[in-house]
Amino acid sequence: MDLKVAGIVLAVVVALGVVLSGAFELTGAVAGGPLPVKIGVVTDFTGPAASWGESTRMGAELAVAELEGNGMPVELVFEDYKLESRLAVTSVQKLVEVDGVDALYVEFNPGSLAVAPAMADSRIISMFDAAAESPIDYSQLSFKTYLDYRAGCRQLAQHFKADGVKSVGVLKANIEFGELCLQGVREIYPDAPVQSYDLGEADFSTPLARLLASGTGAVVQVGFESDALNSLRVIREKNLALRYGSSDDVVTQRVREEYASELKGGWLFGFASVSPEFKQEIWAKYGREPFNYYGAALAYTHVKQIARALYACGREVECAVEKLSESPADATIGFKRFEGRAAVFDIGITSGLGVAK
Amino acid sequence: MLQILLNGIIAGAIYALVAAGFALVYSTARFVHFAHGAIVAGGAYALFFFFERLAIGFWPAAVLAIAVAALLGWVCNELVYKPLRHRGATPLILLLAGFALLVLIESLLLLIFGADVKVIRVLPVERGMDFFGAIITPLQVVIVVVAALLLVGLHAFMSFTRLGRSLRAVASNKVVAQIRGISVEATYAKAFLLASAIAGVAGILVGMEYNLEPTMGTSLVIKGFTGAIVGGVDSVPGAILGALLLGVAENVAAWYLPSGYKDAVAFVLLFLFLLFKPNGIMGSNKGARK
Repeated sequence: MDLKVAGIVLAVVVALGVVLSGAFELTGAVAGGPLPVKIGVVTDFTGPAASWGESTRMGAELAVAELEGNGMPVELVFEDYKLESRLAVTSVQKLVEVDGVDALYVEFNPGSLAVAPAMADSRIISMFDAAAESPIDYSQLSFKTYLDYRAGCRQLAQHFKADGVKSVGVLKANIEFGELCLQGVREIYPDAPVQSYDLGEADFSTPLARLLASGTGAVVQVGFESDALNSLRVIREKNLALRYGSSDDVVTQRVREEYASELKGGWLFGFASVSPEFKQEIWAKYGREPFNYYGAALAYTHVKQIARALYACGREVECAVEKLSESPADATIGFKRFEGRAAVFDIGITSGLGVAK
Repeated sequence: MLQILLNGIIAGAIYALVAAGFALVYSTARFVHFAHGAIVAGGAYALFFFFERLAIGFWPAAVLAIAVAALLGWVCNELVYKPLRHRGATPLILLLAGFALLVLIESLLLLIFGADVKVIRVLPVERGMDFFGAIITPLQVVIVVVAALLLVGLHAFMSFTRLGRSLRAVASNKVVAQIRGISVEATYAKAFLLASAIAGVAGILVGMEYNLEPTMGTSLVIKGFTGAIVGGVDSVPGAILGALLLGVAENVAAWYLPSGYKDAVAFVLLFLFLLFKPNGIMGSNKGARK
């Protein structure tokens, strides 16, 4: 056979094969069942929040295993954006345009705040796991999860008020959840003084001195572990008579061990609980616990919700959004419901040393 | 008010530690070495590695950390700046290279040590000492004393030592310095070694006072740069004084203005000096330089 003719025949056969396999995929005629729902998970595996990202993977994969057992195959596509906003946007573009995902799960504020506007005209359901609230303002197909910082800080303020603290000040990080926390505190203490700072600030000597000088008896600060370490160090070194309120993902075990005396009389808000059954399932599958049960439990809860909604509606987006909005309560991490596409959780308050109230 | 002043002096002393090495490089090699911030961070992480991870005693760990920082600075010069200079790179190109090195070194620190906050606990965190009604900790006293010693010591070094005079000669006119038998490249190398050793000292003290994060060098070098501009970037004592002034100005402003304006104070000072006194408080007002 002439080589040229052989080459043409080969090319035609290969092209036919590609087209036919694509057609089979489109019609779902491949033996084995329906096409799996594809969920893109955009998180941090190698950046500052890598340990949280790994916890998310554990929870998401556990959810997938359970869904598959119930005849709902799910394919997860993970993207690592290292907490860099521009990488989050390109990751999402790849997930949507190349991987053809049916839904997105985006973690942390930098990614959520960057991706949300980009998804404004998209027909993809997005779930933003971040303290910020604004991501769901861009699209009716977006949902938000994680703690309500306004409600959490309001509860902290209520507890300080019940303790007789006359004035509570706020050390406000210049980021959306810092502003939400301030709003929550001011629902109880309308004149709460505020000292703001940029993330990365290490020296809180003057802001804390100023809060103390304005008569505050307690300070509320939500941010990151380094913020708590730096603030509590100043409180100890300068012997400031200030109680401390924050979220329990900021006041880590290391912070509690080092600054136990400064945390006495303080309050922390966080998720009420993670169910023992979920913890057992994690241990059974992985033989270890995740760095953070919250991340794993949130991913587990919401991957299941998203997949169920999509399967119930045959991937029809508006229907799936409605189904997702009606998701029932789930005890895994105290999920109660979605309100205006924002997840509502049981909020737990513990003393500064982590003892539940 | 005394407490606020003290807070400002402590912050200024930290900026001064960074500004000193920064100004030393600028006054000799005539370009802005932004990677200096990463050298500071490198010194801090080196102390963490030797003291916390390898559990070596503090003083040997500190000496090793200073050596690592000095070596890191020397490598930056040998592998990046020197080849660029030989290719006729302008100060702008060298500045951009410095930025790239800053990002590269911070990324390496992130890769090696991870992004979670690290803590160096040489001294326990305790209530500070009373000082006329204000409070200061022993470590903060050390920081202020070291900054003061640097001010005096570097001035004496630049004025009375052979190496100091070589650095000044090269800074003043490197062609004439070469004619006089001074090796310009060797002088640059020594300047980087010395400046980076000072950065190592800064990294040790900053790491003990605050926490370690891979990007800690970026904010420090911006403050150090601002302080150097205010004090006179080609005068090492001037840079130290400018940094002290910056620290005090920031904290006094934070007392009377919303604290969110703290960084704005630094940049307003920078703009004012660039506009009205670009040579800084103690900078020289020479004409065209070689």
